[in-house]
Amino acid sequence: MTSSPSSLLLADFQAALLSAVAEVAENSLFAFADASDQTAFESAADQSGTDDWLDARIRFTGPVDGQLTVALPGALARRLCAAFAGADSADEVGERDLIDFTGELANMVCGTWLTRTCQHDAFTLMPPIVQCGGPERRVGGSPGDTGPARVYVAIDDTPLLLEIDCGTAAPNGPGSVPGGAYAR
Amino acid sequence: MSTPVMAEAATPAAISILVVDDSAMMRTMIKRAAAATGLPIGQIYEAADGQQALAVLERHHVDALFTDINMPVMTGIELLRQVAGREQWRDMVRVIISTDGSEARRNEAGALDVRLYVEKPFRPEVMRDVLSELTAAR
Repeated sequence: MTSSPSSLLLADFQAALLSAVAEVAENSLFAFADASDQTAFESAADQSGTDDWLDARIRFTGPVDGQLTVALPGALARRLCAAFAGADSADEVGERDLIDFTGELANMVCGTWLTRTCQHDAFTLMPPIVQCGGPERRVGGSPGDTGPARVYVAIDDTPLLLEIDCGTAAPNGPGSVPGGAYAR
Repeated sequence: MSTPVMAEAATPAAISILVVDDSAMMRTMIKRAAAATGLPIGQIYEAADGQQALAVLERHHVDALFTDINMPVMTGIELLRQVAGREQWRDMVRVIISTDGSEARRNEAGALDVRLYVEKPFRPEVMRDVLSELTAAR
């Protein structure tokens, strides 16, 4: 069986992103990351409350321009935030800290991925923008979609979604925050 | 009868540090990791960007500066350029803590007298190694 060049590129891309998430999870969050899939993600999205969902979007410029979005359930974000902060329980995590942490999570994943992928060239990351809301707009993508590339990852067995859209121009400045979103 | 002279163990002076990062959670994590090292850490100051950091440096003595790179208002690289131009901060140790570990950025930092370059994400024990190196060098 042979693989097409595009499927090989996608596999490399997915492996690089998974590796970046694993590095962040293991080094800073005391957690374990593994590959997941769309079915597991959609199942998790169905089970979680539609309001308890977080998206962190970060734009990058450098050898490649684009944006990375991390979408994850609020309960997972709280657990990871507690681990990151050294809190005894996720109940101790306040909303402001949760927003800040989710943005930093996207920042660390994006920076690690770009460093490992580009190696030689410096890049610039814009301040992350975090949005609260349901995962419904993330569900239903199909392999034929021409939108951002999607990679499904699980941290401690809870699925989350990474979307990368390369080639997007005119990156957001810190001031361009859409309604309902938070920039730290 | 001569009085015995007690040999005093050398107690290293506590070092004051400034943590510059636009993420409050990251600043907290760095401070917690520094406090957990058991090393003599004095005052720990915080700033959310390079401009705030310069204001802190104008008012307080800081032995070691830990800065992120990508920040709004003033980046860590611009902060380091400003620091490099000031005689009174010549001896302050400079450490970068950033997700950008590219060769180009490391070279840029090296030209600005950065002693150590720590890539995010990092394990908390990395902070112990960094601070041990800094305190031993004093």
